[in-house]
Amino acid sequence: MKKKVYLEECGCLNAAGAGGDALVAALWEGKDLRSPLAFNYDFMPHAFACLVKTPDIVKEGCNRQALKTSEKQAKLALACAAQTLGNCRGEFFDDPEGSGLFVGIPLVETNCDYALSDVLPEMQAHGSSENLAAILMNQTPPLSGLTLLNSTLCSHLAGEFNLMGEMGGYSHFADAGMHALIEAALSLEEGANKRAVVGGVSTETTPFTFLQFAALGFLKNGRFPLPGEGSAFLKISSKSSLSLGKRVVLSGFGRSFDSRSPERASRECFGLALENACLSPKDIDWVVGAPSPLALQGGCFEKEYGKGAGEGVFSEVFGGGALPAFCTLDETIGFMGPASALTAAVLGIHGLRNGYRLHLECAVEKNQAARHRIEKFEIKHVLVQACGPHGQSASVILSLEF
Amino acid sequence: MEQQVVVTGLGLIAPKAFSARQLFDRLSGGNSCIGVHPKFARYKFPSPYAAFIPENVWAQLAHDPAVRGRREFGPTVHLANYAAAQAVAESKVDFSLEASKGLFVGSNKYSISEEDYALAAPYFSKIDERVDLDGFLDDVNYDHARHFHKSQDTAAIFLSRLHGFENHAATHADACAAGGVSIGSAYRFIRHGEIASALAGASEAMSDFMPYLGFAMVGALNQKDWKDPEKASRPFEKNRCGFVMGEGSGFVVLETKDRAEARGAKPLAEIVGFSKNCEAVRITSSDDAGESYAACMEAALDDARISPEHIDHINLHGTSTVQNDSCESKALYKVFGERAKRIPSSANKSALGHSLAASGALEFILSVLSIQKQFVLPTLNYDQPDQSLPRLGIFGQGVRFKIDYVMSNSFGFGGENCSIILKRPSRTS
Repeated sequence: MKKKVYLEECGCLNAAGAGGDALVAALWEGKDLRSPLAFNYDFMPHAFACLVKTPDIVKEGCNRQALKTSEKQAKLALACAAQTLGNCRGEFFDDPEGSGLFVGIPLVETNCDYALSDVLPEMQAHGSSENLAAILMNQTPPLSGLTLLNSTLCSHLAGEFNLMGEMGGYSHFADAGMHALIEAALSLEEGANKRAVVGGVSTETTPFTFLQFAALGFLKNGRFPLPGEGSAFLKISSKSSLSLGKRVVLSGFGRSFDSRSPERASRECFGLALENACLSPKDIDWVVGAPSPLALQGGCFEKEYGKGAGEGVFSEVFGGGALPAFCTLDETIGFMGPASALTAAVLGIHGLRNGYRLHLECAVEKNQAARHRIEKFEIKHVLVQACGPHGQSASVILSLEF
Repeated sequence: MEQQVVVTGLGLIAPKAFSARQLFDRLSGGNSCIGVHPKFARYKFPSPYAAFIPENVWAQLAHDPAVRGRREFGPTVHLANYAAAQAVAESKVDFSLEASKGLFVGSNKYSISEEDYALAAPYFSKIDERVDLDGFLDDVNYDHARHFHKSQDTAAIFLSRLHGFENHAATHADACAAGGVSIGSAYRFIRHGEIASALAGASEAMSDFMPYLGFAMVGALNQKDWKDPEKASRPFEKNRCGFVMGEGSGFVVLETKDRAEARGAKPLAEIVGFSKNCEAVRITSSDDAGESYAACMEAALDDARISPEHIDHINLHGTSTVQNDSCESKALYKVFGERAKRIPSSANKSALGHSLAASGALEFILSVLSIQKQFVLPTLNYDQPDQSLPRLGIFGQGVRFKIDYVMSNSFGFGGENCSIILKRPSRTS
């Protein structure tokens, strides 16, 4: 990075609870945060997901009007943003044009609409009539059209926090969360924003989530992605108000794509991030892997670590020597799409500020929460990695400023 | 060192048009692309108008070898495949051989079709609010691959595989501004030297049942029976009452000017400025006074290092909704003052409907051709200017005009805005 970009406030909300402490505790203790799903099916590998109760956003201080229109997804994001950015409202209010918004947005799922499911088969079977068309119109939720766009969440956030600077919305897997962070940092570097809110949110877990997983081919694998709900937010700024030793900067980033060889994309991505940060592999103290379906499909991360290194992405990047500590959020809080990448970043910042790192203790067994060992360690550089299921790869390096 | 960024290839598909130049010619002659959508008429919707790709064209698009038999790729991909191939062919860039390149695609969610919804319906039990997902997934009539069509990033995934994009492939999800933002983002990447060339654009297939219902209920869609579908979209006109659904795809090839000239490619236009911002107002409408739109346009002018006096033509967002057109008119007066009524301006959605994410890309391409042909496209149905709004330089018929700089605006639902400034390409001596 050509200019310093500070990661200031950060927070997350997921099945482990709110904030970095709850997340660390869940990873350390190998907590089982899975909840049974209400859907009626029996062939799935496991009928669980890491769910979050729909937050009461009014209690979080958000505008009551948002209640009328927001999806659970938007409520998760608003609640997480309110918890994380509550102290920054004055700053945004004083300089809205200098305050940007960058959000990783997943596929916005709508809940099964039982009214529509009554009317449509009748229309299909017997043809339409003005009456049926009118019923259909009446039964359609007033603002459902906005779920086709991705703007509802962004506009809620912009309205809530008075953000009028440069913006961006990115879809829709874990890499999208990382794109949001990288693009936000670049907007600060260019001077388009003085600060920016960066966020990511999961989709709501519905039966359609499983249809999407089926379409993506995840159901064919031995290891089924554990769906998770959650959100993570950060405030990044060109200036820091924190004391030395707590200041975390985004020192480098890398992005790559290769649908034929996701491993190649990841390798290139690591390399680009290191080059961008002017660091060598041995400088990296900790790797935090965001939950990703790529890893769940027998990809490069846990497999390589679980087997004690070998021929693989990390070994190549780190020169075949000792691998840095690695931790994964996969089986603990579930796959949360764009929220995953930023939750991993939040964990990295938490480790940098509090002087610890987590080690994945063992290979993750099928459908078990991963256990991690915590080690007190004055880490300086954390590599945070995020992947999409088609070969998307994005990495950032977060560093403690001394 | 900052690079100059030029456009060297255009590709487009829209209702009743199979290329950028065909669409430009169609619009130049005052012809609309809006008709009666057979499905909307069959469902007896009160205003069954849309600019839509007809079934026979969908069938042809699905027959393209690049997508044929690939059930996971749906309508959004089929449109993007067609438009992107055209842009790449015109530019003569072989992206598979390019070392430093990026793919930028704007797209929203593709809605599940009502046919699929009806297939799923028997498996939903409203009595106990449970879903027999097992039964649904086992239903031989439902093709699970079609669910993949919904994802915003399918077009980016498809194009990246087809053209070998490995450095950067991103999906921009900025609602109605996504097309403009994807092109603008590509411009920035090239300008800053991160990549040397890009394929950028957007694709949207929203002229369908579920989006119609959704946008009708938001109150944004024209619901008046105009008898003549071509009358339904009337941006900035007194009797406008909402937008008409549209769909399509537009892609451009961008590269550094040095690179284009070195390989003998003809720059069609140069991008010189880009800005995007968000608002903090309401989720369905913008700041009434147009402040945020104005801030976006001013930032784009700053980025281009030009003053408002340089702008010769404005490609308006102009959706035909009461609120959007009002905000944009006021914003233009804030930026351009009284000159706003003299700058020739076009609202292409009068003929094309609103293709949401794709609209910014289509309008960008039409702006390039306005520069090329030195011609301002007409705004259809501008019969009675809305006297409550500041008057803009809108013409009911196309006019020849000297155009050096064009501003193209896209303003999304909930206040995600972008402005791009294009310049007539200059020759390097």
